[in-house]
Amino acid sequence: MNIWNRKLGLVALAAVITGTLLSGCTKENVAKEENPENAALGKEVTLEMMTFSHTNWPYKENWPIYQYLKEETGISFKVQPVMSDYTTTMNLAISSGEIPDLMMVNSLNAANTHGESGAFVDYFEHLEQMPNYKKFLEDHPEVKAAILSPEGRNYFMPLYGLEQQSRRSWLYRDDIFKKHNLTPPTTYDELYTVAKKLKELYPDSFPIAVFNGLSPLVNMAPAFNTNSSYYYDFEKNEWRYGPTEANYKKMVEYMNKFYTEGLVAPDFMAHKRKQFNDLLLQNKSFIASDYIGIMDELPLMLGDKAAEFSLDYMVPPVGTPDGKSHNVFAGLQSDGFAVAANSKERDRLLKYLDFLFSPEGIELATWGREGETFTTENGARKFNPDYKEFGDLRTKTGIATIGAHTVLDMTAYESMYSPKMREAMKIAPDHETRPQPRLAYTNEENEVLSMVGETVKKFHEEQIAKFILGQKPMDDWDAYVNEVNKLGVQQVLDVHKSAYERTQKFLNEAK
Amino acid sequence: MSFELTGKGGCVFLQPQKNPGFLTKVKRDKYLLLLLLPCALYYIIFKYVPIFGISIAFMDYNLFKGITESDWVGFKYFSMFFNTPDFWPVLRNTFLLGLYKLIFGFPAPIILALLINEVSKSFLKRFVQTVSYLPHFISNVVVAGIAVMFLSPTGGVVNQLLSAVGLERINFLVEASWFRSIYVTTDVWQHIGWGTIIYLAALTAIDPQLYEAARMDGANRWKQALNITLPGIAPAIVIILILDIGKILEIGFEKVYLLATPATYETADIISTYVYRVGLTQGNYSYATAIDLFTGIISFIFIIAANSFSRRVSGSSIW
Repeated sequence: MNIWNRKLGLVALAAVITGTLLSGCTKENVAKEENPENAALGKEVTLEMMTFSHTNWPYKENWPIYQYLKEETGISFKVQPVMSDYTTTMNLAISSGEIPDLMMVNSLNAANTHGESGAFVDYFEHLEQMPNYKKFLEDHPEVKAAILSPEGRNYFMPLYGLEQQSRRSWLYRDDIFKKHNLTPPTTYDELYTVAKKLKELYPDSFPIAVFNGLSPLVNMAPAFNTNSSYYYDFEKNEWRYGPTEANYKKMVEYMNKFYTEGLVAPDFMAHKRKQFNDLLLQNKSFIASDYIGIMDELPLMLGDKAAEFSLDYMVPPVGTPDGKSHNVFAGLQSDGFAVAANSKERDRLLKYLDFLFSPEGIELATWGREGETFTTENGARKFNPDYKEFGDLRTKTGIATIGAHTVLDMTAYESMYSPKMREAMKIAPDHETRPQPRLAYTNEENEVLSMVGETVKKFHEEQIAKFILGQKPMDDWDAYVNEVNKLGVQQVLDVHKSAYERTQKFLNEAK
Repeated sequence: MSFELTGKGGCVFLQPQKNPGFLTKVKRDKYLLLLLLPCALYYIIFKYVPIFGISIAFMDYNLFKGITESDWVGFKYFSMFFNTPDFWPVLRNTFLLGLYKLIFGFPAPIILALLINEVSKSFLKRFVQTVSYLPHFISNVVVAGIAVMFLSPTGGVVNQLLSAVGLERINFLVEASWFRSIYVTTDVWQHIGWGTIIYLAALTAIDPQLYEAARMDGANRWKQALNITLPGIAPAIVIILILDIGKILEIGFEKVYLLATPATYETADIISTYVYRVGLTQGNYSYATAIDLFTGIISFIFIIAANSFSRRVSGSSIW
């Protein structure tokens, strides 16, 4: 019942605050209307926005990026930054009816559920007002396929660009490899041999660093031409369930071998990021699967002692003959903008969002303002030297923080990467799976997914974990497959299939 | 003003009654009542009104439409919960975890309180007390982190001790059979000191004369503890026990979620982690509320049963 306590508390608090601040607010608005500046844009308005505030670059009211956006569009925001538990705060705002004009929603599902019940604007009804957004969707059909509602409407405006940063990848300690004359593995057999060799050289080590339950398998699966969950097989044009496939079994066998021979930490499933980082930093692990960004981040943690320490991109090893040298591409960002259906300045707001999809808007959101955040030398742009790295830029200017952009041109930030990271970002796209479709489900489908789907998932994870740890012999594999199918794999597959077909239909109709 | 008849020695007198009406009383105590008002409002607004929120367990609750406009679906979500294959394992795990927590977590503070009570040096007494209740303030995230570190099969203190005495190392966190022990042990460690506070308070209420009399009769310290101290705090023990029995199914979500690994789901998947998975992460509030209501009812039955049992057996009870 906690949610109710908080809800009522918030409503009461909001009532008190609105009561006391009402007079102050209106005065402020009057003062702004008198401002003769920006006459061309119509009068200046202040709208409410709710957005996620990252702990590493918490929202600041005086961030220049919002100033620039205001100068371009005449819209400034009263931002409600949310540091943690965004889902609860978002739901509270919706259920209390105090929906801010512009709101970040953290899943397509949430946007659709509340959108269908009337909380949010359907962008498709206003596409003629939003030529840039329209064009963006035409240019990016994969994005368009990932933002529809089960009725073919659109309440979720995607963010595009930052996902490039959260790429998964295989990494290896190139300094250690060089020292011992080892070459990075290209297959799982080689991975096994080289890890074995490293274990001999460093008996205390666990050469392969993976962590957090069974999530390592997610990134390994493409090498075995399978997937750790339900997936759309783009080659065969069908929906499949990876964890029962023969290739998946091969992957589990490799993991079991790694586990038994001490090539991964015995308690890797219980490890969180801290333990993972420690293993790498203390020379106890040399090959890792994680976000590509740790290449630049981990050495920073070592400070001066980082001299030797070097992580480099490793081309994903292949597990089976039909496997691909791919990392899993996580796909589009889960956050997106939703506009409150009852916003008084709806049309202005739609125009504002459309501006963010225009070339000028993308440039402004990516670079900021010439002379202030960047300079141009010989036709090439450079960020001010005050910003030492990407995170620094975000902290100081608000550029590329959630809420201040829709599309980012990620090539702009390359100069802030280390040379090997820059190199890696060039190779990485060639070693990546196609993103899986992000689908919209109806209420009935959601029910199947949460009831049957979660039961299947739990059973699958539990059994796979036991196979890897050797608590269950591999001979029991067929029994496991039978059992998991009985729990309702087909039912869940059917949901994905029908949702996928529906999306395709909407997309084809639009053409 | 009303009058009543009082009889005394055969004579009958008419006498004004000393019992003013409700309104008169309100008027008389208006300032006192005004002081009470914020507190009463707090309970009404934050504790009683929210109770109507449980109605969403019987609705297809939609956040935007709210309680008034969402559609009623009756017991749909309850039967959904009873029919899921996870129902029995999850209920069993929750109950067993709660039971073990009660069996080991309940007597621990009593024993510690008795031990602290026997310490005669007041400095040592306070030191032990402070140190033992400090873990209560450590967040579950940190406790889980400490557990992972201590129990690590390679560098963990526990395993180093095991191998030092020639025993085999145990991979605690991926063995389903170890999960309950780990949970209960860390829980006892976290809350033992905090639990002693109430017993130590109860101990101060025991009349010192009883001890003097017992010493005169030749009772040693063990006999004194058994025959004076324990009976002295017995009412407190019973009340805490009844309250704890009511909480058997209320296992916090956080620590279980942090300590569980896929390999330990067999014993570690409890009602609250199940609710988190299928209710809250999927935005299914009705379902989550239905389950919450179900556990609430079970807890209520537990507490009523324990209370009446205790009233019949020991005479002391909450009501």
